[in-house]
Amino acid sequence: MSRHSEEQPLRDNIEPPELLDGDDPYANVDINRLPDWWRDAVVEFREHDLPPYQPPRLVDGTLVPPLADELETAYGVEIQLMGLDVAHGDAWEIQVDGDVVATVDRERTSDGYTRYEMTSERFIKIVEGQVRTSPNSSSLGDRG
Amino acid sequence: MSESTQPDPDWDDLHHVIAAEDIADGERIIVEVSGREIAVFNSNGELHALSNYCTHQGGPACEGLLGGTLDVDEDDELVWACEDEIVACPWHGWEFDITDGTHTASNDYRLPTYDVHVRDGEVYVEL
Repeated sequence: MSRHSEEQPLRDNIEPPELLDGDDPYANVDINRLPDWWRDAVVEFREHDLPPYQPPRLVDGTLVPPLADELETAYGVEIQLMGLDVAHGDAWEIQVDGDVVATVDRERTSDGYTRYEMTSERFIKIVEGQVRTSPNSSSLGDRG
Repeated sequence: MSESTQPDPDWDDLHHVIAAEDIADGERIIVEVSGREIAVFNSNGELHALSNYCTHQGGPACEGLLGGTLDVDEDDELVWACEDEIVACPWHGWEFDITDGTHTASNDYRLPTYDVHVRDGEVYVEL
């Protein structure tokens, strides 16, 4: 996955690219130029004749994997989005280092990707709030 | 649920899911791993992991009802089988065997599956 320089704002490079707007999003894309996590998912979906892979997004369009990765790296925490014994339509949990810090509604869109009903601003705030209160996490001052 | 007996994987390929004690028999957990949603089922004492994207239209295949299916026994009688091993996609009811990802009615469709490892009481999926 591509990394940000220390000077760039946290939210850089997490916006969905224009390629995701089409019905065949990878028709003109060299998938080897995508981040590893993205390329691997595209390949897996193709191998199983699934609809084209599209990354999960927050309600404002922010791609979840690079945002979570940036926060994990910045604060030295493990961030998980998960549903334990959930049924269709149930909210999921956002966990930081195993602690539930919020729940979030979500849905699988007709385009086949998951959209979490939370803004990136709120997501970041929730994680940073947990970092501030958890003695096991890196301090906010450690972030460059 | 026991420790994994599969060959030791590369730790770089393992992704932490949950403490093994936190997923009881009959429960499932769906977690986002590297941009993909993966469901881990604890069914009949075994852990099974598969993709949460239906081969039909990309629906959340592993969020539907978990049950069994009809099968034919040696006397050509219909019997109920595979209890707690068949999940139905909540969108259109496509059914998949959670033990191997296969569609119950067609060999043309199969959900991606993943190896599950339990190490020191923690569950990991291998990607």
